[in-house]
Amino acid sequence: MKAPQHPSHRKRRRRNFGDRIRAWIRHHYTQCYDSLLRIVRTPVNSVVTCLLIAIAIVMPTIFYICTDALQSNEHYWREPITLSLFLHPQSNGKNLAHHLQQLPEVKTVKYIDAEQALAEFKAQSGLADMIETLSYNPLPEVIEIEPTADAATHQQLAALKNKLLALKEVAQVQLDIEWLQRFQQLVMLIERIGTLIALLLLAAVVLVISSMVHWIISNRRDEIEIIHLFGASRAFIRRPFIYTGFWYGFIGGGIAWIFAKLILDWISASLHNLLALYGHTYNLATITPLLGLQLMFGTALLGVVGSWIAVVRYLRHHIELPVNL
Amino acid sequence: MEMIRFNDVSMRFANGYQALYDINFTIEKNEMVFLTGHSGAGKSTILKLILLSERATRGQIWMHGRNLRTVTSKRACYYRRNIGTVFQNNQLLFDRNVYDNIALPLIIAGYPQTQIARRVEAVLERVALDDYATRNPMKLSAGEQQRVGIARAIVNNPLLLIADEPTGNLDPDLSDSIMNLFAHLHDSGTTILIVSHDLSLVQKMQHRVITLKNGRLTGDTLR
Ligand SMILES: Nc1ncnc2c1ncn2[C@@H]1O[C@H](COP(=O)(O)OP(=O)(O)OP(=O)(O)O)[C@@H](O)[C@H]1O
Ligand SMILES: [Mg+2]
Repeated sequence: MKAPQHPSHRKRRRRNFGDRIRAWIRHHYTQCYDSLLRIVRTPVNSVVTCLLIAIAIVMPTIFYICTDALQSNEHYWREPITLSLFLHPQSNGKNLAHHLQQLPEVKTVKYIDAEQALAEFKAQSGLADMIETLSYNPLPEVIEIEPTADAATHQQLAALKNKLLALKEVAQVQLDIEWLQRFQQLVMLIERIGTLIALLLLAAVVLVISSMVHWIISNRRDEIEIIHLFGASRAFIRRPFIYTGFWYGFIGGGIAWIFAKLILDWISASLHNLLALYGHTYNLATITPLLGLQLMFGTALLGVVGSWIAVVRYLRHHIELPVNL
Repeated sequence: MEMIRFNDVSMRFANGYQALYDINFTIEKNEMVFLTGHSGAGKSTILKLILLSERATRGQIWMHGRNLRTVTSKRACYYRRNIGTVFQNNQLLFDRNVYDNIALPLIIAGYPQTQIARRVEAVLERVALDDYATRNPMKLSAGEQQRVGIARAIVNNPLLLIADEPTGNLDPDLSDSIMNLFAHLHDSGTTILIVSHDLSLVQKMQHRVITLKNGRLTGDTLR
């Protein structure tokens, strides 16, 4: 009980809460630093891994940025939608046009009387001579309506069409939205395919990091075994590997940022020149610093997930104590 | 006061192999005990049970008044910090120096830096490796490496020091000096359980010897 006491063998001093917190922070800090150092010390493996991650990340990134840019340049490629109202003969088209202008769904109204319509038709059809021979004007008055942007979905347009058809002056309403439907479906399809590919690539990143960390863990088996026997908690054992996954993701995300920037600059330069020929200005697709940082931390998160999977799997197989009987 | 007690402990591994049959013994505080037996007798299995690397299939093990069945898997790591372990092939980490190897149990237990430095220095002195702190363990002799391993095992002032064939890799002279080191530690109040199949060495030490045979306890000299 009361054995001779050696200097380092005195009563077991209790560490207070502050000491433990400080030690905990310190371990985080040293492991964070140490895992980065280990990555740097195995350059070949690390470069290959980070490049794999970057390549997998850069594709969805560019896809995202390009669709974003496409949407912000919508006015260049989006045709205005119009509804053409063909009126019964002898209706008061001017009045009706004035009335329609008041509707909330309507942005602009253009009234075309029969003579104008005929003149336009002559000019466009190239049948001027034949039309000259007609003794009367067969064309009705027409009102062209452009709906407002927030009334432009497929359903809203169909409703508007029915509403206009109900007017007694209106003989027929022509709404050419087939292209719109087709276009919207195409956009949806592209978005779905893009999302699917992006998800697969993100899963690939998790797998790459997970198998890399698994390999690193098996190289440090002895160390894990030792610190386990000296009472390391699971979190303590996990920590260096989680940081390794973090760094792989972080660095891979950074390389992806550089790649994305290079590729987008390259695409944008030629696009810019092309559009300049037509006198257009164009919102170029770029990767903002904010997006770049999101990329790095987002990929780092994937790294944490990947390494977590690897560590937990390893610990379950090699360290876990059998359940209490 | 008793440090460790085995009460009718039996151990059957997952593959069905029965390694221990009804083991009973008690080790008092400040005792130094040798555990011997032929290869495969179950010596390491007893250490594994003490370390909670495995759980006994039958019987109770008490450590410092605590039934190990009450230690959950999650809390087992805190329990292990009470035990210092020395391995046969000392298991030092060659990617760091002697100081960092010895500091490991203290870092795990969350000691402040200043205390770690103080304790590592003190323990280096005890194993007579005063100037070795910054050396790489790979470049030390086998005996020096084993002393680093012992320093690491005692740096956290464990309640119990266990050693599995600590002299297994050493020539007789070195074995003697390592055993003398254990004897010193024992003199200064450490409870020690050493596994060794080197009978001549064990007998020379004149301490209590527990003998295992085919998983059964067949001898206990009880001083
Ligand atoms: N995890 C395990 N699963 C199944 N059998 C095991 C396991 N570990 C050990 N054994 C068996 O249990 C028996 C006792 O093993 P143990 O390691 O305790 O022997 P030992 O006395 O330490 O021998 P040695 O002197 O050779 O180290 C051996 O026959 C061994 O094959
Ligand atoms: Mg053994």
